[in-house]
This record gives sequence, C-alpha cells and structure tokens, in this order.
Amino acid sequence: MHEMGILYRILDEVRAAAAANNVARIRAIRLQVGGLSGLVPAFLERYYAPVAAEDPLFLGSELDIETIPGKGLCRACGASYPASAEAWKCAVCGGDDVRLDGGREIVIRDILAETAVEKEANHG
Amino acid sequence: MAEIRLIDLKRSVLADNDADADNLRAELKRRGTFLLNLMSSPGSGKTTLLKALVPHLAGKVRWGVMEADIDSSVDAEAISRLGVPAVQLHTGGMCHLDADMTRQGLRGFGDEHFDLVVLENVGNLVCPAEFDTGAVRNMTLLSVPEGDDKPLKYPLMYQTCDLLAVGKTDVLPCFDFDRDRLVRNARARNPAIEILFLSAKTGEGVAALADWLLRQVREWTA
Repeated sequence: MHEMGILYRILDEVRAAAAANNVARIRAIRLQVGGLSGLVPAFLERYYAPVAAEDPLFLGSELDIETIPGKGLCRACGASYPASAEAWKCAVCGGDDVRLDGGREIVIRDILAETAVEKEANHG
Repeated sequence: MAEIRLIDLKRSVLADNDADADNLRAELKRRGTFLLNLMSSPGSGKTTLLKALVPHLAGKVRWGVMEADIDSSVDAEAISRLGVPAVQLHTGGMCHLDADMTRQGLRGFGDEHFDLVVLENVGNLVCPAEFDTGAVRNMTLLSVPEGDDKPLKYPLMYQTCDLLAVGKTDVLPCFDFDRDRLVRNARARNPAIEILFLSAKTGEGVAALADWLLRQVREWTA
C-alpha cells in the first residue's frame, strides 16, 4: 500500500551508501522483502523505473527482489515452521502461543555499482 | 574508467524510523508527555470518541490532539471547538505517519506542555501498523459495523496495539457481531491485548477508557 514511500526510502539509503563508496552509477539494488511485510513486490517493480528515473545515479538500474517467506516460532513446543498471514497456529502442535520469526523484513541486501577508480589510482 | 563492485549494505529500510521513534519516546519521557497512537479504519468513530472523552479528562490532565489526515482540517476544528488544543497534520497522500512526521506535529503545539497527546492516525488498518510513530502506547478502535473478524484480516494492527476499544456498541442489536468471537480473534493475534467495549453515543465504557488513559499517563510521568 505504501510501496512508493518505501521506494523513496530505499533510494535515499542507496544514495547515502553511494556517496560513502565513491559510486558513479548504480547498476542494481538487491532487496529482500518479507512475505508478510505487506509490500507487493510487483508494485515495487512497477514503480521503481519511474522513481529511479528522477536521479541520474539510478539511470538504467534494476531492482532485484528476493521474497523471504514468513517463519513462525512456537513458544510451546519450540517448532519453527512456514507462516502465512492466515496461519497463526503452530503447524506442529497446533498451539497459538506463537511469534513471527521472519517475514516482515525490508532489507537492502547489497548494491551492484560502478565506482570511479581514477581517484584511487591518483593516490597510488 | 569504471569498476563494477558489489557493495554489501544489509540495511533494514525501516531501521532509521525505528531508531527515530525510540529517540522521540525518550524526548517525550524527558518532557513528561504520554503519547497515544490511535489507529482504526476511516469512519470507526475516532474523533467522536475523543470528543466524548473531553468531559472525563477535564481538570485531570492537560491534553492535546494531533489529527492526521490526507486532507482537510474538519477533525482538528471539531476537537478545538471543545476547548482541547488540536493540530491538524496533512500527510499529503501518505497512508500513515512515521516518527519524524509525528515529531513535526508535536512542534505544532509550540511551547505548551501536555501530559497526554493523542495522535489520531490516518484511518487505515494496514500501513499505520507498520510504522512506529514514537508513541508510548498504541490503541486501535474497532466499530461494531466493521465486524468481529477484523483481527483475522489485519493481524499486524492487533499485534502492535496495547489496547483494543470496540466502539459503537449501541448498534450491536443490528449486527451479527459476536463479542466473545471478537475477543477470541483479537487474543489469537495478541494474547496480551487489553479490550474495552464502549459507545461514544450512550457513554458506555468511555469512563473506563479515560481511566485507562489516566493510568498510562501516571505510569509514564511518574
């Protein structure tokens, strides 16, 4: 629902990392999106190009999204199991004293970037 | 000449907001202000409930209201007509508030000191639950016409809230809303959630909500 706002946050983070790492251009951003994060990867992909086009740093870059499945953890029996938004009971013992152990993350894993190397060569 | 590099980031996109929210909570603690984040669907009766709280809180606590909407200031006007300071935040199309927008909203009160500030978040059961506003407690209001199955459909909202208020109980006879089923559904999502039934129209439960708020304020500012 707020994919646009998240995209702007992602680009801000990447811009900061680019400045810190002498990056001239971003080729790709690898993003991990939890299956229970509420974000729709198809919407992130659809809006990425127009949002990225606003800054030459991101010209022609790609957004690669890896979906991280939800994981439940049962406090009663200790089982770890795949969790969906619909299944809030332990898949092993059926108990409802469960917590989410993954699936809500939105993480920029890494970026593939072109760095300008001339400056470093000058130092050498 | 360019070189292609893989730069490891492992940055959580919401981590900066979470840290900012913690900072805001620390600021509020220093100032002795309890901030409640009130969330619900549009039309569940948030503003009407706040208006009903006015006489119950009068003389007991200095309080103000921040109204967050995509547009218009009808909610803030309705609250300030009752003598409670209110600021209106416009999210400009955003579906939720984050900690920085909340901090800006608090600045709208100027130097006035409050023991309690209620943030009336954008009416939406999805996005507001995902962003920590810096509030001390989260409350969600569910009105009877919305149905007792909402905790099943919007689990995160109920997981992030400390208090669930079920409003518009005056219309219970008109709807297939089962109070026990609602309690079961909410507790399945969040075993620790407190639940109050109330009606701003008849006044049922409003005093209990005021007591809950005053207790929270006392504990936070002690």
